[in-house]
Amino acid sequence: MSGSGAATGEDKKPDQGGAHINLKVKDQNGNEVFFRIKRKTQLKKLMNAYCDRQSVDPKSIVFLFDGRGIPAEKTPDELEMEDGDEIDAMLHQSGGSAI
Amino acid sequence: MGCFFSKPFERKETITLEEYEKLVKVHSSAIDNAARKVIRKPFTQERSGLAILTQKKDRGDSLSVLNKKVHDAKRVTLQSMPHDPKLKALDFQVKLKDVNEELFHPLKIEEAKDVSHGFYGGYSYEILITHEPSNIEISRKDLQCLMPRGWLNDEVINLYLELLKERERSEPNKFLKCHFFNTFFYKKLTSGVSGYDFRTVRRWTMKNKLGYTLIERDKVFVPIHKDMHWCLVVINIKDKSFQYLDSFGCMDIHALQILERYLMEETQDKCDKEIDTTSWKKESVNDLPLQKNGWDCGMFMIKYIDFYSRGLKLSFSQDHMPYFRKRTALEILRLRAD
Repeated sequence: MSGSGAATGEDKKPDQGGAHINLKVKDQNGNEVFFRIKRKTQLKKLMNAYCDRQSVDPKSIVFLFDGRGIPAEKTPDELEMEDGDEIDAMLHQSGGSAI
Repeated sequence: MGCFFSKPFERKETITLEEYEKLVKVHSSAIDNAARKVIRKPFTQERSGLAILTQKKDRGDSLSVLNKKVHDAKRVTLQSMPHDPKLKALDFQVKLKDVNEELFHPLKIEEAKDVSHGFYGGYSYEILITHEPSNIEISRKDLQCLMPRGWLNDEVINLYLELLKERERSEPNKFLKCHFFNTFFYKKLTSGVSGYDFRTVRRWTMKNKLGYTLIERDKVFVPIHKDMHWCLVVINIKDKSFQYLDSFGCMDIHALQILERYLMEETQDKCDKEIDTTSWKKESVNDLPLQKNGWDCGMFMIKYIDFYSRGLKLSFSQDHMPYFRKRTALEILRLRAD
């Protein structure tokens, strides 16, 4: 479930209040990928990295933080993210019929 | 007593003050047609007991009796008014007309042009509108899912729900107090190994962001995405019930149980209060408007939400869907739900 960590080794000493932040991206199946990025880096960098790594089309995914869409150009600082926070990677949905 | 009701004046031409007071008393306690007859009669010229009354007691007393008579007559008239079925029907029709005009007003020519331009006016990936607070972008391709036979996607539904939120905020007296979950909420809540994990959505409803807790709302709407189908759960906090609305008429009691458990945990978490919802009704909706094709479930779902957030019954049908599609496209392009 959480074995696919990308930067687990760096979790040893999170620099609280420092320049970096550890974030976790979790998909609908519960798989988690860990990222460590600068607090002032735009989150699109993380999102693109996630899509590259998981080989998914960025257009097929919605990234949510506490249920709200994440603006690509915003940074962790701007969204008041804290170390260890979780981002949800949800698949786009479409529906019209049960059959 | 019985004869006062049926034939109060036949035995005597006039009545005494005591008798009249007795009559008034009887009338106050039993408002039925017979009682009304009793009260109206003293007002007819030839049978009025007024002259006798004034003779018998001093002026002050009889005046107060007169006042009471007038008051009673007025009350009887007012009471009988709303009971007039014709007037009631007329009043109802006027109200219905107002509501209908708001719910089904046709698009103006320029509005229809805007919708048409939204659908056909350029290349697919052009971003037509961005809703800043929710960070939802609608491209032409997204909007096109509102064209006839299109399957509604999460962007269009979630943006429309954002607009309903804003509508309620701008006119709080006109709409019920609702919470509109987005289409990802239920998916997130039920993802994971156990099929239910409150912690995954705990922070979605923090009071400092919402300004309220769910339990203070009238209704909570939970869209449910089932692979290719849209359904809805409505939690009626005030009426203490969970409703499942599927435009194909199916029922998913499991979804209701999941959300029952969620509501209990959420209330415990945010309000530090235990609520017991085991006695709450878990039901489907009688006379639910149903879809008769293979593409309109999303449209039905958002209109269930729209009508319920107005406190209205679901007075629409499959025939309205082509109109609702255009109207929703317009509301999205204008970023305002009417």
